[in-house]
Amino acid sequence: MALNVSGQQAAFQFKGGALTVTTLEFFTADVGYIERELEQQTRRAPAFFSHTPVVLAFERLSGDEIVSLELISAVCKRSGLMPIAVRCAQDAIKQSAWALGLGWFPPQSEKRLQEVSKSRELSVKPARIVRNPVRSGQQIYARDSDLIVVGSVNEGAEIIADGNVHIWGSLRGKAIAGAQGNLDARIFCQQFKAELVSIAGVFQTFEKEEWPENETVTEIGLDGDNLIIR
Amino acid sequence: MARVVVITSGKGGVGKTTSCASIGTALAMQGFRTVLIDFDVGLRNLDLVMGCERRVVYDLINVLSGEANLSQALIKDKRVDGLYMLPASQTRDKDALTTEGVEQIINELKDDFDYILCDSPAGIERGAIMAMYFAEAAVVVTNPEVSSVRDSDRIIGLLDSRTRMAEEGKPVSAQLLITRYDPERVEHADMMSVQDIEEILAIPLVGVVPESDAVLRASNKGTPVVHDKESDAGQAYLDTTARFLGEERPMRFLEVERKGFLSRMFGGR
Repeated sequence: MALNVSGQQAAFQFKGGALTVTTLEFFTADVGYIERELEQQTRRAPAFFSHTPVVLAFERLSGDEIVSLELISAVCKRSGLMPIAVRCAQDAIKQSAWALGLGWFPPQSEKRLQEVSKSRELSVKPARIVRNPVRSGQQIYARDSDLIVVGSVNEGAEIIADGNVHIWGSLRGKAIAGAQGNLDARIFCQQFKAELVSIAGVFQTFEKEEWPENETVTEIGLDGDNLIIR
Repeated sequence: MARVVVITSGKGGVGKTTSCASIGTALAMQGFRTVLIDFDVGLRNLDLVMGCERRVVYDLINVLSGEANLSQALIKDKRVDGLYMLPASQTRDKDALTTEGVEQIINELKDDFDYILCDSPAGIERGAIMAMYFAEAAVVVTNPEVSSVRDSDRIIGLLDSRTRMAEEGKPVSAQLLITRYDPERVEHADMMSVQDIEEILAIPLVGVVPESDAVLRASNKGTPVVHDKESDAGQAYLDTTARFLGEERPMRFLEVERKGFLSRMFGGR
């Protein structure tokens, strides 16, 4: 929040944010070679190159290669690109970047790249898979994920998932999907003979007569406050 | 090295003790040295079914507490060679069973026998857990009715979690024995069919023993029904034991016997 003591309108405000910026990653420091390739690319997609801000990245170059940032920057500008900063580990390049009025970013280390890709993988939590029948008296909870039972859920058994519930066999016990309140969670089973089903807290118990007559794949979902079984 | 097998069911009165006595006797008849342990401390029955109740001097709890040694407590069967039983105590209760004590007894018996059959009490309390804890295999006895099937389902779940094998990550091989099966009542939909039970419990079927007067007769006489080779139940237990030992035999007594004209005229039931 901006601190406004005098009651006047603030002149500006600093804001953090992640902008998407094109990075130009160099595999060589040979200015002639870079220029030729850039010309070819410019001819192919001139619109992309017109006034596009880019970060010049030099991490892929070996540390002892001599980089003439001034020339490379000039070549980029001739192709229509607008270098705004560099990203590198070499101190020499950093110094010349500042001299040229460009910003500097620290290099992306391998470790950090790995961390990023790892955290991306984890954002989709794998479903919990149960290979045995779930028997009377057993309770299984799949936290933050789907639950897949490769078998039946017997009378007196209880399965709970924060995501969807998939049962490859018969559902004879209790099944609870969307336990943390996910309204879109669903329950699927090959044969519906449930004691109770619940989605996001909306539950229904069943007598034998209430089971669907056709013993086929059944899907249970939520429509408003009602459970839909089909 | 002996194989430890638990005869269990969850529900009471389904035929655990009858099955334990008959399968044990049949194993001994095949030449396997077999010992039956009654884990129903406080409500012992196996000695009655085996007909050796008058010879019980020391019991399982006496051995556990060091008041007697195993050889004093083991009762030798009079009819079949190589068959022994270790009776439960009638005066104590199931809390007297300790894991270490039971393990020691089973380990001692392992050197002498081919099969150790543990006759489990009903329920899922200490006695039942102790009976199954050291088992490598299980015979789950079930009657064709919903409450029995549900209790068996619970017991199979415990076999998968509360046994030493399960703790070591190995499965206990559980097999299903359906007793008191009455094909006529199944046909009238009064009773669950073998297929229904198999579908729910999802373990291999080792045998089906029909409802039979011979079972009650045998229990009261103190002779395991498997000795009555004329009876359907006796034959069913012989089949069951053969399948338990890996032999393939077709299931019998699953269909209603159509009575012929003559037997309808002259008696039958």
